[in-house]
Amino acid sequence: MQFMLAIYEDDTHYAGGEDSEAWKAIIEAHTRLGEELAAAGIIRGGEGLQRADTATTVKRIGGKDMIHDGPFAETKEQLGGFYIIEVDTLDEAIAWAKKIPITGDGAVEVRPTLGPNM
Amino acid sequence: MSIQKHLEAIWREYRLSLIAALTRIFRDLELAEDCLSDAFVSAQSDWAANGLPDRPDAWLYTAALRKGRDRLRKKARHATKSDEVNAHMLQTLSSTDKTKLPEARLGLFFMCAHPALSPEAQTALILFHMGGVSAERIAASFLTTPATIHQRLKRARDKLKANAVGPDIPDQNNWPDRLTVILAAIEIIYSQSYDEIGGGVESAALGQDALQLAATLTIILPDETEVHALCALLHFLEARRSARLDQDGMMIPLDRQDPTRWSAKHLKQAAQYVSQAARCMSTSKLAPGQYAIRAHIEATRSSKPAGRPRAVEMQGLYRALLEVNPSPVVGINYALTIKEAIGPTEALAELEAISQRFDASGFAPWHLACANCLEALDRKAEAIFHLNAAMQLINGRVERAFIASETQRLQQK
Repeated sequence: MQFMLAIYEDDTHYAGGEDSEAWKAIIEAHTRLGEELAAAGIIRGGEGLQRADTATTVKRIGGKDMIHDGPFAETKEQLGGFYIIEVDTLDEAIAWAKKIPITGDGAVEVRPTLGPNM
Repeated sequence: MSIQKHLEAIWREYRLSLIAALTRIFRDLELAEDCLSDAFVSAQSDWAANGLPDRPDAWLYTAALRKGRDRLRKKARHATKSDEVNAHMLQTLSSTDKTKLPEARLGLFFMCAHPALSPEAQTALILFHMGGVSAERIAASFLTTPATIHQRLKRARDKLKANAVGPDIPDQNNWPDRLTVILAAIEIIYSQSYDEIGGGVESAALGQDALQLAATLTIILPDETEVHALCALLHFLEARRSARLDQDGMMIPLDRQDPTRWSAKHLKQAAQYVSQAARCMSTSKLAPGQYAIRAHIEATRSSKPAGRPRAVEMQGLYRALLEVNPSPVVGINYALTIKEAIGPTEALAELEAISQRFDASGFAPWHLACANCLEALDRKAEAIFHLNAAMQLINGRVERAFIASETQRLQQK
Protein backbone atom coordinates (compact mmCIF):
# COMPACT_ATOMS: atom_id res chain seq x y z
CA MET A 1 0.00 0.00 0.00
CA GLN A 2 1.00 3.62 -0.47
CA PHE A 3 2.04 6.04 2.22
CA MET A 4 2.86 9.70 2.10
CA LEU A 5 5.85 10.73 4.17
CA ALA A 6 5.37 14.46 4.77
CA ILE A 7 8.41 16.31 6.05
CA TYR A 8 8.09 19.15 8.56
CA GLU A 9 11.12 21.17 9.53
CA ASP A 10 12.25 24.65 10.50
CA ASP A 11 13.20 26.16 7.14
CA THR A 12 15.00 29.16 8.66
CA HIS A 13 17.98 26.75 8.67
CA TYR A 14 18.08 27.35 4.92
CA ALA A 15 17.82 31.15 5.10
CA GLY A 16 21.32 31.33 3.58
CA GLY A 17 19.87 30.17 0.25
CA GLU A 18 21.13 27.63 -2.26
CA ASP A 19 24.79 28.35 -1.63
CA SER A 20 24.59 27.70 2.12
CA GLU A 21 26.21 24.61 3.62
CA ALA A 22 22.91 23.54 5.25
CA TRP A 23 21.13 23.61 1.89
CA LYS A 24 23.85 21.72 0.05
CA ALA A 25 23.98 19.10 2.79
CA ILE A 26 20.22 18.47 2.86
CA ILE A 27 19.95 18.29 -0.93
CA GLU A 28 22.77 15.77 -1.04
CA ALA A 29 21.15 13.70 1.71
CA HIS A 30 17.80 13.69 -0.10
CA THR A 31 19.48 12.71 -3.36
CA ARG A 32 21.07 9.71 -1.62
CA LEU A 33 17.75 8.73 -0.03
CA GLY A 34 16.02 9.08 -3.42
CA GLU A 35 18.55 6.69 -4.93
CA GLU A 36 18.00 4.22 -2.09
CA LEU A 37 14.19 4.39 -2.52
CA ALA A 38 14.56 3.94 -6.28
CA ALA A 39 16.89 0.95 -5.79
CA ALA A 40 14.30 -0.62 -3.47
CA GLY A 41 11.70 -0.05 -6.21
CA ILE A 42 9.20 1.59 -3.87
CA ILE A 43 9.23 5.27 -4.81
CA ARG A 44 5.93 6.44 -6.35
CA GLY A 45 6.32 10.19 -6.20
CA GLY A 46 7.38 13.17 -4.19
CA GLU A 47 8.58 16.74 -4.29
CA GLY A 48 10.69 19.14 -2.34
CA LEU A 49 8.99 22.47 -1.71
CA GLN A 50 10.33 25.99 -1.73
CA ARG A 51 10.48 27.81 1.58
CA ALA A 52 7.22 28.25 3.50
CA ASP A 53 7.35 32.06 3.17
CA THR A 54 6.75 31.63 -0.57
CA ALA A 55 3.35 30.05 0.16
CA THR A 56 -0.05 31.58 -0.50
CA THR A 57 -3.13 30.19 1.24
CA VAL A 58 -6.69 30.40 -0.01
CA LYS A 59 -8.91 30.32 3.04
CA ARG A 60 -12.61 29.60 2.74
CA ILE A 61 -14.70 30.89 5.61
CA GLY A 62 -18.49 30.84 5.44
CA GLY A 63 -18.40 30.13 1.71
CA LYS A 64 -16.15 33.14 1.05
CA ASP A 65 -12.61 32.76 -0.27
CA MET A 66 -9.83 34.90 1.07
CA ILE A 67 -6.23 35.03 -0.07
CA HIS A 68 -3.71 34.89 2.74
CA ASP A 69 0.01 35.56 2.46
CA GLY A 70 1.87 32.67 4.03
CA PRO A 71 1.46 28.97 4.80
CA PHE A 72 -1.72 27.46 6.29
CA ALA A 73 -0.33 26.84 9.76
CA GLU A 74 1.85 29.42 11.48
CA THR A 75 4.12 26.94 13.20
CA LYS A 76 7.88 26.74 13.59
CA GLU A 77 8.04 23.50 11.61
CA GLN A 78 6.57 23.76 8.12
CA LEU A 79 5.78 21.31 5.35
CA GLY A 80 8.98 21.14 3.33
CA GLY A 81 8.34 18.25 0.99
CA PHE A 82 6.98 14.75 0.73
CA TYR A 83 7.60 11.28 -0.63
CA ILE A 84 5.01 8.75 -1.77
CA ILE A 85 6.23 5.20 -1.23
CA GLU A 86 4.70 1.78 -1.76
CA VAL A 87 5.44 -0.73 1.02
CA ASP A 88 3.59 -3.61 2.65
CA THR A 89 3.37 -2.40 6.22
CA LEU A 90 3.22 0.70 8.38
CA ASP A 91 6.37 -0.54 10.13
CA GLU A 92 8.28 -0.41 6.85
CA ALA A 93 6.93 3.07 6.14
CA ILE A 94 8.03 4.17 9.62
CA ALA A 95 11.47 2.66 9.05
CA TRP A 96 11.82 4.74 5.86
CA ALA A 97 10.50 7.84 7.66
CA LYS A 98 13.32 7.44 10.17
CA LYS A 99 15.83 7.66 7.32
CA ILE A 100 14.55 11.01 6.05
CA PRO A 101 17.13 13.75 6.57
CA ILE A 102 16.04 16.78 8.59
CA THR A 103 18.14 19.76 9.67
CA GLY A 104 17.70 20.19 13.43
CA ASP A 105 14.36 19.23 14.99
CA GLY A 106 11.36 18.32 12.90
CA ALA A 107 8.86 15.61 12.09
CA VAL A 108 7.80 13.21 9.39
CA GLU A 109 4.08 12.45 9.18
CA VAL A 110 3.38 8.95 7.87
CA ARG A 111 -0.05 8.71 6.33
CA PRO A 112 -1.71 6.05 4.17
CA THR A 113 -3.08 7.32 0.85
CA LEU A 114 -6.61 6.49 -0.29
CA GLY A 115 -5.13 4.25 -2.97
CA PRO A 116 -6.52 3.03 -6.28
CA ASN A 117 -9.40 1.00 -4.73
CA MET A 118 -11.26 3.99 -3.36
CA MET B 1 -23.06 -31.22 28.63
CA SER B 2 -25.51 -28.88 26.91
CA ILE B 3 -24.60 -27.14 23.64
CA GLN B 4 -24.56 -23.86 25.56
CA LYS B 5 -21.99 -25.21 28.04
CA HIS B 6 -19.89 -26.63 25.18
CA LEU B 7 -19.99 -23.29 23.42
CA GLU B 8 -18.88 -21.46 26.55
CA ALA B 9 -15.96 -23.85 27.00
CA ILE B 10 -15.00 -23.57 23.32
CA TRP B 11 -15.30 -19.79 23.47
CA ARG B 12 -12.88 -19.73 26.40
CA GLU B 13 -10.41 -22.10 24.80
CA TYR B 14 -10.36 -20.92 21.20
CA ARG B 15 -11.62 -17.32 21.07
CA LEU B 16 -8.21 -15.71 21.13
CA SER B 17 -6.64 -18.09 18.61
CA LEU B 18 -9.58 -17.70 16.25
CA ILE B 19 -9.55 -13.90 16.50
CA ALA B 20 -5.81 -13.94 15.80
CA ALA B 21 -6.18 -16.28 12.81
CA LEU B 22 -9.12 -14.31 11.36
CA THR B 23 -7.40 -10.95 11.86
CA ARG B 24 -4.41 -12.32 10.02
CA ILE B 25 -6.60 -12.92 6.96
CA PHE B 26 -9.02 -9.97 7.15
CA ARG B 27 -6.40 -7.51 8.48
CA ASP B 28 -9.35 -5.94 10.25
CA LEU B 29 -9.86 -6.61 13.95
CA GLU B 30 -13.44 -5.38 14.07
CA LEU B 31 -14.48 -7.55 11.13
CA ALA B 32 -12.78 -10.55 12.76
CA GLU B 33 -14.68 -10.01 16.04
CA ASP B 34 -18.01 -9.45 14.27
CA CYS B 35 -17.67 -12.53 12.07
CA LEU B 36 -16.62 -14.73 14.96
CA SER B 37 -19.64 -13.58 16.98
CA ASP B 38 -21.88 -14.39 14.01
CA ALA B 39 -20.26 -17.81 13.70
CA PHE B 40 -20.97 -18.55 17.37
CA VAL B 41 -24.61 -17.60 16.85
CA SER B 42 -24.82 -19.99 13.86
CA ALA B 43 -23.07 -22.72 15.84
CA GLN B 44 -25.75 -22.61 18.50
CA SER B 45 -28.54 -23.70 16.14
CA ASP B 46 -26.39 -25.86 13.80
CA TRP B 47 -24.81 -27.90 16.58
CA ALA B 48 -28.10 -28.33 18.40
CA ALA B 49 -29.53 -29.84 15.18
CA ASN B 50 -26.51 -31.76 13.85
CA GLY B 51 -24.46 -32.48 16.93
CA LEU B 52 -20.97 -31.27 17.85
CA PRO B 53 -18.48 -31.21 14.94
CA ASP B 54 -15.16 -33.10 15.31
CA ARG B 55 -13.18 -29.92 15.23
CA PRO B 56 -15.37 -27.16 16.65
CA ASP B 57 -12.55 -24.63 16.19
CA ALA B 58 -12.20 -25.47 12.48
CA TRP B 59 -15.99 -25.29 12.09
CA LEU B 60 -16.12 -21.85 13.68
CA TYR B 61 -13.12 -20.66 11.67
CA THR B 62 -14.68 -21.67 8.33
CA ALA B 63 -18.07 -20.25 9.32
CA ALA B 64 -16.47 -16.94 10.33
CA LEU B 65 -14.49 -16.80 7.06
CA ARG B 66 -17.71 -17.31 5.11
CA LYS B 67 -19.41 -14.50 7.05
CA GLY B 68 -16.41 -12.30 6.34
CA ARG B 69 -16.47 -13.06 2.62
CA ASP B 70 -20.17 -12.21 2.46
CA ARG B 71 -19.67 -8.95 4.32
CA LEU B 72 -16.73 -7.98 2.11
CA ARG B 73 -18.66 -8.78 -1.07
CA LYS B 74 -21.37 -6.32 -0.12
CA LYS B 75 -18.79 -3.57 -0.33
CA ALA B 76 -17.80 -3.50 -3.98
CA ARG B 77 -14.39 -1.99 -3.40
CA HIS B 78 -13.39 -5.01 -1.32
CA ALA B 79 -14.12 -7.44 -4.13
CA THR B 80 -10.47 -8.50 -4.45
CA LYS B 81 -10.24 -8.95 -0.71
CA SER B 82 -13.27 -11.22 -0.74
CA ASP B 83 -11.59 -13.37 -3.43
CA GLU B 84 -8.55 -13.68 -1.20
CA VAL B 85 -10.74 -14.79 1.69
CA ASN B 86 -12.39 -17.29 -0.65
CA ALA B 87 -9.00 -18.76 -1.44
CA HIS B 88 -8.27 -19.12 2.26
CA MET B 89 -11.53 -20.95 2.80
CA LEU B 90 -10.35 -23.78 0.61
CA GLN B 91 -7.66 -24.51 3.14
CA THR B 92 -9.51 -25.31 6.33
CA LEU B 93 -7.78 -24.99 9.65
CA SER B 94 -5.68 -28.14 9.67
CA SER B 95 -4.10 -29.64 12.72
CA THR B 96 -0.68 -28.33 11.68
CA ASP B 97 -2.01 -24.79 11.97
CA LYS B 98 -2.46 -25.39 15.65
CA THR B 99 1.28 -25.15 16.23
CA LYS B 100 1.22 -21.72 14.63
CA LEU B 101 -1.53 -20.44 16.88
CA PRO B 102 0.67 -19.14 19.73
CA GLU B 103 2.53 -17.14 17.10
CA ALA B 104 -0.72 -15.73 15.70
CA ARG B 105 -1.73 -14.69 19.19
CA LEU B 106 1.59 -12.99 19.76
CA GLY B 107 1.13 -11.18 16.44
CA LEU B 108 -2.22 -9.92 17.70
CA PHE B 109 -0.45 -8.64 20.82
CA PHE B 110 2.08 -6.75 18.75
CA MET B 111 -0.71 -5.34 16.62
CA CYS B 112 -2.58 -4.03 19.66
CA ALA B 113 0.66 -2.63 21.10
CA HIS B 114 1.58 -0.82 17.88
CA PRO B 115 3.43 2.41 18.69
CA ALA B 116 1.26 4.31 16.18
CA LEU B 117 -1.49 4.08 18.85
CA SER B 118 -1.69 6.10 22.05
CA PRO B 119 -0.83 4.21 25.27
CA GLU B 120 -4.48 4.42 26.39
CA ALA B 121 -5.62 2.91 23.10
CA GLN B 122 -2.99 0.14 23.28
CA THR B 123 -4.05 -0.93 26.76
CA ALA B 124 -7.75 -0.76 25.93
CA LEU B 125 -7.27 -2.89 22.79
CA ILE B 126 -5.23 -5.52 24.61
CA LEU B 127 -7.66 -5.76 27.52
CA PHE B 128 -10.75 -5.89 25.30
CA HIS B 129 -9.59 -8.09 22.42
CA MET B 130 -6.88 -10.20 24.04
CA GLY B 131 -8.12 -10.38 27.63
CA GLY B 132 -11.82 -10.46 26.83
CA VAL B 133 -12.32 -7.80 29.53
CA SER B 134 -15.63 -5.95 29.08
CA ALA B 135 -15.74 -2.25 28.15
CA GLU B 136 -17.55 -1.64 31.46
CA ARG B 137 -14.64 -3.06 33.45
CA ILE B 138 -12.04 -1.26 31.37
CA ALA B 139 -13.99 1.97 31.87
CA ALA B 140 -13.99 1.41 35.62
CA SER B 141 -10.21 1.01 35.75
CA PHE B 142 -9.61 4.03 33.48
CA LEU B 143 -12.13 6.12 35.47
CA THR B 144 -14.21 6.85 32.38
CA THR B 145 -17.44 5.72 30.72
CA PRO B 146 -17.99 2.54 28.66
CA ALA B 147 -19.07 4.78 25.73
CA THR B 148 -15.68 6.51 25.79
CA ILE B 149 -13.90 3.15 25.84
CA HIS B 150 -15.96 1.88 22.87
CA GLN B 151 -15.13 5.08 20.99
CA ARG B 152 -11.42 4.72 21.82
CA LEU B 153 -11.45 1.08 20.68
CA LYS B 154 -13.20 1.96 17.44
CA ARG B 155 -10.82 4.81 16.63
CA ALA B 156 -7.83 2.58 17.32
CA ARG B 157 -9.15 -0.29 15.19
CA ASP B 158 -9.97 2.12 12.35
CA LYS B 159 -6.47 3.54 12.44
CA LEU B 160 -4.90 0.08 12.34
CA LYS B 161 -7.16 -0.86 9.46
CA ALA B 162 -6.45 2.34 7.48
CA ASN B 163 -2.74 1.61 7.80
CA ALA B 164 -3.18 -2.10 7.06
CA VAL B 165 -1.54 -3.04 10.34
CA GLY B 166 -2.15 -6.75 10.84
CA PRO B 167 -1.18 -9.29 13.51
CA ASP B 168 2.41 -9.57 12.29
CA ILE B 169 5.45 -10.16 14.43
CA PRO B 170 7.69 -7.16 13.76
CA ASP B 171 11.44 -7.05 13.24
CA GLN B 172 13.34 -7.72 16.41
CA ASN B 173 14.60 -4.12 16.65
CA ASN B 174 11.00 -2.97 17.03
CA TRP B 175 10.40 -5.22 20.04
CA PRO B 176 11.65 -3.46 23.16
CA ASP B 177 9.10 -0.59 23.21
CA ARG B 178 6.20 -2.83 22.37
CA LEU B 179 7.28 -5.46 24.83
CA THR B 180 6.93 -2.99 27.70
CA VAL B 181 3.33 -2.34 26.65
CA ILE B 182 2.59 -6.05 26.22
CA LEU B 183 4.02 -7.07 29.60
CA ALA B 184 2.06 -4.33 31.36
CA ALA B 185 -1.12 -5.45 29.60
CA ILE B 186 -0.65 -9.12 30.56
CA GLU B 187 -0.20 -7.98 34.13
CA ILE B 188 -3.40 -5.91 33.95
CA ILE B 189 -5.30 -8.91 32.56
CA TYR B 190 -3.95 -11.06 35.39
CA SER B 191 -4.77 -8.53 38.09
CA GLN B 192 -8.31 -8.20 36.74
CA SER B 193 -8.69 -11.87 37.60
CA TYR B 194 -6.89 -11.54 40.92
CA ASP B 195 -8.55 -8.40 42.26
CA GLU B 196 -11.98 -9.85 41.87
CA ILE B 197 -11.36 -12.24 44.68
CA GLY B 198 -14.83 -13.74 44.76
CA GLY B 199 -14.81 -13.89 40.94
CA GLY B 200 -15.08 -17.67 40.63
CA VAL B 201 -14.52 -19.71 37.48
CA GLU B 202 -14.66 -16.82 34.99
CA SER B 203 -11.96 -14.92 36.86
CA ALA B 204 -9.75 -17.95 37.30
CA ALA B 205 -9.97 -18.58 33.53
CA LEU B 206 -8.87 -15.00 32.85
CA GLY B 207 -5.91 -15.60 35.16
CA GLN B 208 -5.08 -18.77 33.22
CA ASP B 209 -5.23 -16.79 29.96
CA ALA B 210 -2.72 -14.30 31.32
CA LEU B 211 -0.39 -17.09 32.51
CA GLN B 212 -0.64 -18.77 29.13
CA LEU B 213 0.02 -15.58 27.19
CA ALA B 214 3.06 -14.87 29.34
CA ALA B 215 4.33 -18.44 28.87
CA THR B 216 3.85 -18.07 25.09
CA LEU B 217 6.01 -14.97 25.19
CA THR B 218 8.85 -16.86 26.89
CA ILE B 219 8.82 -19.43 24.08
CA ILE B 220 8.99 -16.78 21.38
CA LEU B 221 11.34 -14.45 23.26
CA PRO B 222 13.52 -16.89 25.23
CA ASP B 223 16.27 -14.38 26.03
CA GLU B 224 14.24 -11.51 27.47
CA THR B 225 14.79 -11.22 31.23
CA GLU B 226 11.61 -9.27 31.89
CA VAL B 227 9.41 -11.82 30.12
CA HIS B 228 10.66 -14.67 32.35
CA ALA B 229 10.47 -12.40 35.38
CA LEU B 230 6.82 -11.57 34.63
CA CYS B 231 6.04 -15.30 34.39
CA ALA B 232 7.73 -15.87 37.73
CA LEU B 233 5.80 -13.02 39.32
CA LEU B 234 2.44 -14.29 38.03
CA HIS B 235 3.14 -17.84 39.23
CA PHE B 236 4.03 -16.55 42.70
CA LEU B 237 0.70 -14.71 42.78
CA GLU B 238 -1.14 -17.72 41.38
CA ALA B 239 0.40 -19.93 44.06
CA ARG B 240 -1.30 -17.81 46.71
CA ARG B 241 -4.65 -17.49 44.95
CA SER B 242 -6.57 -19.85 47.22
CA ALA B 243 -4.59 -19.03 50.37
CA ARG B 244 -5.87 -15.45 50.23
CA LEU B 245 -9.30 -16.48 51.43
CA ASP B 246 -10.46 -18.24 54.56
CA GLN B 247 -13.39 -20.68 54.76
CA ASP B 248 -15.89 -17.82 54.89
CA GLY B 249 -14.42 -16.17 51.80
CA MET B 250 -12.72 -13.51 53.93
CA MET B 251 -9.48 -11.97 52.68
CA ILE B 252 -6.29 -13.00 54.48
CA PRO B 253 -3.41 -10.50 54.15
CA LEU B 254 -0.10 -11.95 53.00
CA ASP B 255 1.62 -11.84 56.41
CA ARG B 256 -1.20 -13.83 58.00
CA GLN B 257 -1.44 -16.48 55.25
CA ASP B 258 -0.58 -20.10 55.93
CA PRO B 259 2.37 -20.88 53.59
CA THR B 260 1.42 -24.56 53.50
CA ARG B 261 -1.69 -23.50 51.57
CA TRP B 262 0.41 -22.01 48.79
CA SER B 263 0.43 -24.12 45.63
CA ALA B 264 3.69 -26.08 45.44
CA LYS B 265 3.18 -26.54 41.70
CA HIS B 266 3.07 -22.82 40.96
CA LEU B 267 5.90 -22.03 43.39
CA LYS B 268 8.05 -24.56 41.55
CA GLN B 269 7.21 -23.03 38.18
CA ALA B 270 7.90 -19.58 39.58
CA ALA B 271 11.33 -20.73 40.77
CA GLN B 272 12.12 -22.11 37.32
CA TYR B 273 11.22 -18.80 35.70
CA VAL B 274 13.34 -16.95 38.29
CA SER B 275 16.39 -18.98 37.27
CA GLN B 276 15.62 -18.42 33.57
CA ALA B 277 15.40 -14.67 34.25
CA ALA B 278 18.74 -14.82 36.08
CA ARG B 279 20.29 -16.63 33.11
CA CYS B 280 19.03 -13.96 30.67
CA MET B 281 20.18 -11.16 32.92
CA SER B 282 23.72 -12.49 33.25
CA THR B 283 23.95 -12.77 29.44
CA SER B 284 22.40 -9.39 28.63
CA LYS B 285 24.22 -7.51 31.43
CA LEU B 286 21.32 -5.05 31.65
CA ALA B 287 20.21 -3.58 34.99
CA PRO B 288 17.19 -5.39 36.46
CA GLY B 289 13.83 -4.01 35.28
CA GLN B 290 10.68 -3.78 37.33
CA TYR B 291 9.59 -7.39 36.81
CA ALA B 292 13.00 -8.79 37.70
CA ILE B 293 12.91 -6.86 40.99
CA ARG B 294 9.33 -7.82 41.72
CA ALA B 295 10.01 -11.50 41.04
CA HIS B 296 12.98 -11.25 43.42
CA ILE B 297 10.69 -9.71 46.06
CA GLU B 298 8.18 -12.56 45.75
CA ALA B 299 10.92 -15.16 45.81
CA THR B 300 12.31 -13.68 49.02
CA ARG B 301 8.84 -13.51 50.51
CA SER B 302 8.04 -17.15 49.87
CA SER B 303 11.43 -18.71 50.63
CA LYS B 304 12.79 -16.83 53.66
CA PRO B 305 11.29 -16.78 57.17
CA ALA B 306 9.78 -13.51 58.39
CA GLY B 307 12.04 -11.49 60.63
CA ARG B 308 14.37 -8.55 60.62
CA PRO B 309 16.98 -9.86 58.11
CA ARG B 310 14.25 -10.49 55.54
CA ALA B 311 12.64 -7.13 56.31
CA VAL B 312 15.93 -5.31 55.65
CA GLU B 313 16.38 -7.16 52.35
CA MET B 314 12.80 -6.34 51.34
CA GLN B 315 13.31 -2.67 52.14
CA GLY B 316 16.31 -2.60 49.78
CA LEU B 317 14.37 -4.35 47.03
CA TYR B 318 11.41 -2.00 47.31
CA ARG B 319 13.73 1.01 47.29
CA ALA B 320 15.20 -0.27 44.00
CA LEU B 321 11.71 -0.91 42.65
CA LEU B 322 10.57 2.60 43.57
CA GLU B 323 13.45 3.96 41.50
CA VAL B 324 12.59 1.89 38.42
CA ASN B 325 8.83 2.20 38.81
CA PRO B 326 7.83 5.26 40.85
CA SER B 327 4.15 4.69 41.65
CA PRO B 328 1.95 5.13 44.73
CA VAL B 329 1.48 1.36 45.17
CA VAL B 330 5.23 0.75 45.21
CA GLY B 331 5.72 3.72 47.55
CA ILE B 332 3.14 2.37 50.00
CA ASN B 333 4.76 -1.07 50.00
CA TYR B 334 8.16 0.53 50.49
CA ALA B 335 6.82 2.36 53.54
CA LEU B 336 5.47 -0.93 54.94
CA THR B 337 8.90 -2.57 54.57
CA ILE B 338 10.32 0.35 56.58
CA LYS B 339 7.83 -0.49 59.32
CA GLU B 340 9.21 -4.04 59.54
CA ALA B 341 12.88 -3.12 59.10
CA ILE B 342 13.05 0.08 61.21
CA GLY B 343 9.75 0.94 62.88
CA PRO B 344 6.23 2.35 62.49
CA THR B 345 7.21 5.99 63.21
CA GLU B 346 9.67 6.05 60.30
CA ALA B 347 7.13 4.23 58.11
CA LEU B 348 4.48 6.86 58.86
CA ALA B 349 6.92 9.61 57.87
CA GLU B 350 7.54 7.80 54.57
CA LEU B 351 3.78 7.43 54.00
CA GLU B 352 3.44 11.19 54.52
CA ALA B 353 6.15 11.76 51.90
CA ILE B 354 4.48 9.29 49.50
CA SER B 355 1.17 11.10 49.92
CA GLN B 356 2.80 14.40 48.95
CA ARG B 357 4.75 12.91 46.06
CA PHE B 358 1.93 10.93 44.47
CA ASP B 359 -1.19 12.60 45.86
CA ALA B 360 -2.08 9.21 47.37
CA SER B 361 -4.68 10.31 49.94
CA GLY B 362 -7.52 9.38 47.57
CA PHE B 363 -6.15 5.88 47.42
CA ALA B 364 -7.54 3.12 49.68
CA PRO B 365 -4.26 1.14 50.09
CA TRP B 366 -2.57 4.29 51.40
CA HIS B 367 -5.18 4.62 54.17
CA LEU B 368 -4.87 0.91 55.02
CA ALA B 369 -1.09 1.28 55.32
CA CYS B 370 -1.52 4.33 57.59
CA ALA B 371 -3.99 2.38 59.75
CA ASN B 372 -1.50 -0.49 59.97
CA CYS B 373 1.32 1.78 61.22
CA LEU B 374 -0.91 3.76 63.59
CA GLU B 375 -2.17 0.54 65.20
CA ALA B 376 1.43 -0.48 65.85
CA LEU B 377 1.88 2.86 67.66
CA ASP B 378 -1.32 2.30 69.68
CA ARG B 379 -2.96 5.31 68.05
CA LYS B 380 -6.29 3.46 67.78
CA ALA B 381 -8.65 6.37 67.03
CA GLU B 382 -6.50 7.60 64.14
CA ALA B 383 -6.16 4.07 62.77
CA ILE B 384 -9.96 3.68 62.75
CA PHE B 385 -10.26 7.06 61.02
CA HIS B 386 -8.04 5.76 58.17
CA LEU B 387 -9.96 2.46 57.93
CA ASN B 388 -13.16 4.46 57.51
CA ALA B 389 -11.51 6.59 54.82
CA ALA B 390 -10.41 3.42 52.96
CA MET B 391 -13.95 2.03 53.19
CA GLN B 392 -15.25 5.14 51.39
CA LEU B 393 -12.86 4.46 48.51
CA ILE B 394 -13.26 0.74 47.90
CA ASN B 395 -16.01 -1.20 46.12
CA GLY B 396 -14.96 -4.87 46.20
CA ARG B 397 -17.19 -6.99 48.41
CA VAL B 398 -14.38 -9.05 49.91
CA GLU B 399 -12.16 -6.04 50.53
CA ARG B 400 -14.98 -4.18 52.23
CA ALA B 401 -15.68 -7.15 54.48
CA PHE B 402 -12.00 -7.23 55.40
CA ILE B 403 -11.94 -3.53 56.31
CA ALA B 404 -15.12 -3.94 58.36
CA SER B 405 -13.60 -6.82 60.34
CA GLU B 406 -10.38 -4.87 60.91
CA THR B 407 -12.37 -1.90 62.22
CA GLN B 408 -14.29 -4.17 64.56
CA ARG B 409 -11.09 -5.83 65.77
CA LEU B 410 -9.55 -2.43 66.58
CA GLN B 411 -12.68 -1.20 68.36
CA GLN B 412 -12.65 -4.24 70.62
CA LYS B 413 -8.94 -3.99 71.35
